[in-house]
Parts: sequence; C-alpha cells; structure tokens
Amino acid sequence: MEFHSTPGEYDAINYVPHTESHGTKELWKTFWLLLGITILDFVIYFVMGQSGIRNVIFILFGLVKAYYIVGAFMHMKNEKVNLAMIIIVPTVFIFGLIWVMLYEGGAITDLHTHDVNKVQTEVHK
Amino acid sequence: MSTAALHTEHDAHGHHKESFISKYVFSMDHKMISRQFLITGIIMGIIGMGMSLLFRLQLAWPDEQFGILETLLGKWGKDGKLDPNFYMGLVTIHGTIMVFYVLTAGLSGTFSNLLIPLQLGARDMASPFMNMLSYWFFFMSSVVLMTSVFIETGPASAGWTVYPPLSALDKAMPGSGLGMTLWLVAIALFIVSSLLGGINYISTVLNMRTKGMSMNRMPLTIWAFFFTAILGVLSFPVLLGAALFLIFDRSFGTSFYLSDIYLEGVGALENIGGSPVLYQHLFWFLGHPEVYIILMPALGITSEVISTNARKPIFGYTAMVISLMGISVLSFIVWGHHMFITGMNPFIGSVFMILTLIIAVPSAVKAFNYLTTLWKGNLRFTPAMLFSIGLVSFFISGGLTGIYLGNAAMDIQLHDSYFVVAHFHLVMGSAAIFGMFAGIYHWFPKMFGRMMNNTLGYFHFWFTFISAYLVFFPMHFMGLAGVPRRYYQFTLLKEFEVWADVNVMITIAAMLGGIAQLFFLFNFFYSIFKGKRAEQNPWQSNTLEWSTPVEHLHGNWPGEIPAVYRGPYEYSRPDREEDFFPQYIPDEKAPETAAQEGVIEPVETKTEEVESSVFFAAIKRALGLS
Amino acid sequence: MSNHSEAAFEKQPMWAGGRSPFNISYGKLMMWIFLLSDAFTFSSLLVQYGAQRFSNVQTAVTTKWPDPASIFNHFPLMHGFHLPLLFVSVMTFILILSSVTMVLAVEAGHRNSKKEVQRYMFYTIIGGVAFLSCQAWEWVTFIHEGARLDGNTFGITKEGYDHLHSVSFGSHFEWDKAVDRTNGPVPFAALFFIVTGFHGFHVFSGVVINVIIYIMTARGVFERRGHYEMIEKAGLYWHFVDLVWVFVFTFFYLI
Repeated sequence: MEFHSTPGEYDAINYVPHTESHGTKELWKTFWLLLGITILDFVIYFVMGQSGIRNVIFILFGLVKAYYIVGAFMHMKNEKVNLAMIIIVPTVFIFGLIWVMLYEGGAITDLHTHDVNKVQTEVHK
Repeated sequence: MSTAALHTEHDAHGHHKESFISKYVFSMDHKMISRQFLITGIIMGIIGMGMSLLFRLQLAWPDEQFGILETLLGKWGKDGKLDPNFYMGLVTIHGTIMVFYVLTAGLSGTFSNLLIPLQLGARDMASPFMNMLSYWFFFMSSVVLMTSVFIETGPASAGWTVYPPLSALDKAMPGSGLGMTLWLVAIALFIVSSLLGGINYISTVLNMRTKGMSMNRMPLTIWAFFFTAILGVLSFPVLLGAALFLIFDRSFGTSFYLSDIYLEGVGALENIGGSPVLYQHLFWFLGHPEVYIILMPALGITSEVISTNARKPIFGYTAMVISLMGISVLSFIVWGHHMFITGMNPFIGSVFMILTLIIAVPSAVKAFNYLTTLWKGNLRFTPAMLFSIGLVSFFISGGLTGIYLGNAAMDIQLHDSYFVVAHFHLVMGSAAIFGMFAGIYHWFPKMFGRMMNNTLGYFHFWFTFISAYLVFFPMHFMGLAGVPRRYYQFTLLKEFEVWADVNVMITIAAMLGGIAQLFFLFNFFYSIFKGKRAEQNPWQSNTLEWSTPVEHLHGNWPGEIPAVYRGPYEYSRPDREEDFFPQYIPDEKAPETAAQEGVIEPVETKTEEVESSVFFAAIKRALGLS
Repeated sequence: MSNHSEAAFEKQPMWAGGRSPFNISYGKLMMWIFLLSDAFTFSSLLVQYGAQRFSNVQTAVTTKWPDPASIFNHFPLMHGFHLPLLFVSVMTFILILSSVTMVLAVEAGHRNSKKEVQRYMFYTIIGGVAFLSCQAWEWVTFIHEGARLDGNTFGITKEGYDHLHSVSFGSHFEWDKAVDRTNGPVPFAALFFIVTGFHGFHVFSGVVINVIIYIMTARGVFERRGHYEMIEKAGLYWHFVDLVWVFVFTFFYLI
C-alpha cells in the first residue's frame, strides 16, 4: 500500500521498527544448552527403565527446550511482555484438550478391560 | 500540505490503474471484499433457506406428492416424493451452509471487513492481499460445496457434524461417498479462508488503531469481531486435524475413528481400535467456539445499533467487554456438553456440565445490559433497531433452554430431539441472522451509499419475527414429548401422529418466513441501484466510519486519518446541544464554543452520575424503597 | 460513562492507538498469530495420538504400545545393529543446527550485512534438506520393516518385550529373530506417518520459503528495502518447525 503520512507519524502499514543485533553469544549458548539436553535425553533413555517418572522427565525436558527455542531463537525474550502474553496464554486451552482426550482414552481402555457388570454393581453399591 | 498533494496524486494514479477486474473481482479494498462476502453470503442464505423449505414440505405432508419436487430435484424427487437419502443430504447441507457459509463467513466476514478498518481509523486491513485470498478461498469453498449437491450419489448426508461412521465409511449411505469427500474439501478450503481472515482481523485490531483509539474506546462491534477472530484462529485448526484423520480413515484404511463393529458375531469391518468419540471431541473443540463465532458478531452489532438508536450510552461498556471475554474463554472448555450421551466418560461430563452452566452468567450480563440500554431511551424504531430488539428476544428465549440442555441429566431426555433444534435455531440461528439483518440495515448507507426502504424493512421484520417464533417455539413441545430430530417420515410411527397438525403449522409458518425474505431481497437489490442517496451520517452515530465520505475511497479518508477523543457511545450528553458527540470531534471545541455563547457547563463525570442516579432511583422505586 | 473506565488505559499510552502496542510490524504479528494457530493444529494431531495410545485395547497377543526402541533402531550403513534413538538424535541435531544458522542469518540481517545473511540462509537450506532426506530414509526403512497405514506388525508379546530389553546398545540385532511379530495396536504406524508427515510438510514448506528468501536476498531486494525483516518472519516459522519437532521427538521416540 502506498499511503503516506507526515514524517515521524505512525504509519500502520509500512511501520517496521528499528531492530538491533543482540550479538551471537547468547545464541550459541542456547545451542549448546539444547544439544546438552538432547544428549541428556539420550542418556536417560538408556539409564532408566521405562516408567512414569522417566516420561515426566522427558516432557519437562521438552518444555525446557521449548522455552529456550521460543525465548532465544524466536526472540520472545526481547519482545514486549504483552506480545509474549497474547501468544502464550491462549495455549492454555490446549491443556484442557489434552486432559480430556487422555482421560477419555483411558476410559475407553477401562470399558474394554473391565467387566461391565462388575462396574455396574460397584456403582449400585 | 505535502501529504495532501501526495494523496491526490495517488488517487488520480489509482483511478487510471483500476480496471473492472481489479476493482470488482480481485479487489483488495476491504469495503469491496466486505460487499463480496455479503452478496455471496446472501446467495448461500437463499439456497440454505430453500433447502429448509423443501424438507419442511416433506415433514408436513409426508404422504402427499408435490410435482414441484420432481421438477426441482429430478431423480431425488421421483413422483413428487422426496428421496429419504436426499432428505438427509438436504438437512446436512442446510446446516453446513447456514452455520459456516452464511453465519460465519457471511456475517463475520462481511462486517469484520467493513467495520474493523473504518471504525478503528485504518486505511485498510493489515494485509489486503491476504484479505482478498480469504474471500476467494471462501468462494471456492462455496462452489465445491454446491457442486456436491449435483453429483450422482448426492451430497454429504451425515449431518453438519459429520460424525463417523457415516462420514468415515464411504459405503455407509449414498451421501457418504463422493459427496462427503467434497464436503471435507469444501471445509478445508473454508478453514484456510477463515484463518487468513482471522489473522488479519486480529493484527489489524491490535496494530492499526488510529491515534486516541485505545482498546476501551473501541466500539463493541470491534471487540466482538476481535474475540470472534481469536476463537476462529484457535479452534479451526483443531477441526483441520480432525478432518485430516477422517480423510485418512475414508481413503487410506486407517482406523482412528472406526471401532470394531460386529454384526451377528462377525466383524463387519476390518477396522479395530478406533473410537468415534475421539472425533466428536476434536470436532466439538471447534464446534462450540463456532457457535460463538456465529453469535458474537451479531451481539456486537446489536450493541452498536441499540445504543445509537436508543440515543443512550450502552449500559455497562466494561461489563459488555468482560462478558464477551468470559464467553470466549468459556467456549473453549465446555465442548463436551454436546456429547453427554455419546458414551463419553460421565466424570468428564459432570465437569463440562458445571462449566457450561457458568456461561449463563456472561450471557445474562449481556441480555440485561441490552434491556437497560433500551430502558428510558429515546428510541428510534428503524428496521435495524427492530432487528436488534428481535435478537435480544431470541437470545433470551433461546438462551434459557440452553440451561436445560446444559444439564447432563436433562440432556439424556432432550438430546437429539426437536428441543435441541428449537434451542439452537432460536439462540444461534435466528438471533445471529437478526443481528446480520440489523447490520445490513444499519450499515447499508455505508456499504452502498444509498438508503434501504423503511416500510419494506418493517414488513420484513414483522413477518420474519412472527414466523421464526411460529416455526421454532412449538418444536420445544415436540422435543419434550420425545420427537427425535432428522426423522424422515413421522406418519410411520403412530406415537407421532398427534404432531401432524403442528408440523403442518410449522411448515406454513416457514413458508411465511421465506416470503418475508423476498421483501428483504427486493429491498436490498433495488436499493443498491435505486435507493435514496444517503447522507454522510444518516443515523447521527458517533463512530468513526461515518466520518468517511459517502463515495468509497481507496484508503477510506481523503486527508489524514481523524484522531479519536472519546468513547464511542456518548449519546445525549446534557452539555451538548446535539444528542450525539462523535469520537472524532476534539474535546476542546465544546468548552470553547460554549464560552463564546456564554453557557459554560463543565463536562466531567456529571453525565454518569445523572444516569446512574436515574437508574438507581428507578430500582428503588420498583422495590418500594423511596 | 466510558470516560470512567478509560482512565485505567490512559496510564498506558502504549495501548492508546496511533502506535503498535508491541512495537512490531503487522507482518510479524501476523506470523506470531499464525504460529499460535498452527500450534493448535499440531496439538490436535498429538492429542489424537495420546488419546489413541491411552485407549489402546490390549488383546490376548499384544501387551502394549510398541516400544520405539525396538523399531527405530536402524542407522544408515550399520545394518543389523541395535542402535535405538541414534538416528533420530542425529536428525534432531541437524534441525537444531539449522535453527542456529537461521537465527544467525536473522542477526546478520539486523546488521544489514547482505553477504552474511546469504551465507547463513544457505546453511539453513542445507540443514532443512538434510533433515528431509533423513526423514525420507527413516520412512523408507520403516515401511520396509512392514509399517502400513491400515495395520501394524510391531506389537510384541511379554516375552519379546523382556528379550528386547536384554539386548544391549550397539550389539548385533535382528528384530525378526528376537521376537515374534504379532499384531500390535493398529493406529501406531498411521499416527507416526500422519504426525511426522505433517511436520515434514512444514519443514518442506519452510525450505521453500527459505529458498525464496535466499533468492530475494541475493537479488538485493531487502537491501533496497532498507531492512531484513522478512528474514525474521521466515525465521519465526523455521524455529516453530524446530519447536514442533521437540515434541514429536519426545512423544514418538522417547516415551
């Protein structure tokens, strides 16, 4: 679009903020961190047997990696807090979906494995 | 000076360049795109309404033959009788068209495009190109959906929710074949269109407001479109995921949504391990926000229209915004109330029930705010105002039955009965379509530069209003008596014979409603070309869109974009001679002119006190306290 | 009336209009919102995976969801060795590395250094292509092993499961001899194909976007424009792909 406003005025369509380089030091630090966590994942996979705790550790590691990717690589740390909020807060709804779907999946397994009559008698009692 | 010069230069330049194609077809101007959305939406609306009349004919007189059906439908209406498979197809396509094409794209697409830049003081949408793509994806989607009606095996027939197995097994019924595939393609295109539009709306609202247009000086229409866009952007992708799995189930032999089905001890399908309930969860994670995607723009439009035509500030602006926000948040965590009897785990059901009943709170806040805005207002009964009041009526009468249906125990009786049909046709169908009509009547001067005829508008309103209640109110009683929805022929069941007369009455009322729309269509298309020329601000409204010239300009304002000095609903201020105070008129002028005339009256917060004291005095009187 | 509630907002001139409340251009804001919506798409796919895994009905022959260690244990040129997780770790490494080169390109763009942008974009494209090639190899191997959309031969019995865990890392291993192949949970392979396929599709479109950006940089489009913001937008998309891979890796290979 080619609309012009007076110099210094906010032109919503052509507005591009001036950005500055924050150096590459932090980026490399993040890279080594991500690599380290991935290697740690690899190690834990073999050291620990399959268990719920191991799964929790993996998910936590995933979240940490996500934090660094979004924060450092996607420059979320350098953005205004408002922006971070409008992007991050709506993902809360995903957790509702996760909880319901997993619960539902578990309930389907229960329906197939348990004796239906037994379950009913338990309810009546 | 230099800016003005630049502008005239650009305008002149623009006029040379614009051909018919770039101006009317592949236009990137948000006003043109909004008109394209509206007219496509109206055409889809006519088709959807026509379909409903066809199946109402079947429901009222199941044993009679109508020559017109054979003329219209060919092999689907052999001997003047509607084919049962095509009846299902009609129901499905009617639902799909009305929910997605008319009330999502036609309503939110039209008015978001028209009003977001105009009411916020932006030259255009953030990305006009994506906006254009959004319309053309919608157009392609409409074409694909309409194509599916004309194919050999008929359109998709699994209901607009396309539950598996009817949608997942391509041999389940005629409509499950190619018709279903085309339905999925159409919806995929629709999702793309809706995402392109939604992302655009959100970034425009956040990033492109004019000077002084802080978030809480935004008109409630914009708030409503804003939340609608957020809902769309967050929930449509989930439907995309569900559709992807469904396509794999249909075409590539996976079994995500197909469980092991046994007929007489023999496995009827090769599929094992899936569950249709999982599809329903993903579908309704979209489906419930979708209901509010439909309703919220209508509520926003109503806020604006009611406040303008009651010549009063909207009652409880902040409460209105918070309740919109509350509805948006809640809409994401209540989807399970559509599935109480589908075999969902009852514990989740109870959680969903509690959350569902909470929605009554923000809804009630909105309903009461409309009523209190109307109360003691200086009402102007324009057609737009009548339609808005009609919306409030439907919103209350339809919303109350929602509380019944949100109750898991009641829902066991009422689920999939005519009670549900009555509920959602009132609260989301009729209410949203009335909001759309209100918007069309109100902003027609802005869209086309001409006025619509008021008398025809009154006829349109009263016929539609009466027929809508005549059609949907009796359905409550049918539903309570246990009449299930989507049945083809009620005469086959002896129990339902008592409802034969009611069905006839409903169909006749529906036809009346259909005829009423002819008033509107004539009025609409006649007024585009021959209507009375509109003045710049025909409704003496406060908002920014009425400061643009009547003739459409690319870029909306000829000079600089006006700045905004106050909220959008300052009607009937005691210190003002006129009963409105547009947002774009600077504050300073008021005291200055007043000083010249020697009547200086401080502005300040006195307005509010006067109003609230009137309000509380009235409550005290009503309670007998004073 | 509305004046009253305005007071709270007036304290934050950031939101008062006439400026971007986040100090970013509309394009970047749109990209963020698109990524948010795309996150919901991927969540719906992963959530479907979770639900199916939780609802996995155990039959007489199948005990549980297949152990990824027993399936994704191949490495190119190392046929017949039990090397679980190794190949996918390499893939993860490639993707993280290409993320770093992407962010270096963005950083060079901030300094308006055309040459460096071009160089790092080139590395990023190489990384993307390498990742896609790895994925292709993995898919081929997986299909070769017997993975199909409409069935699954990776279910294992209890004995097989025990045997599998007694095999040590890097030792010679032949799946067929170790356990009897029996029918496992049907959606296992199909879910793998859909989710990694959808992710691969994103990587592919990311590579296409990067190639376009690379050509635009080479032709000096951004130099003339005066800023390299387009690199940032493409970068956001590319990092999002990496972000999704973190969760695909966690849920499909580790758990």
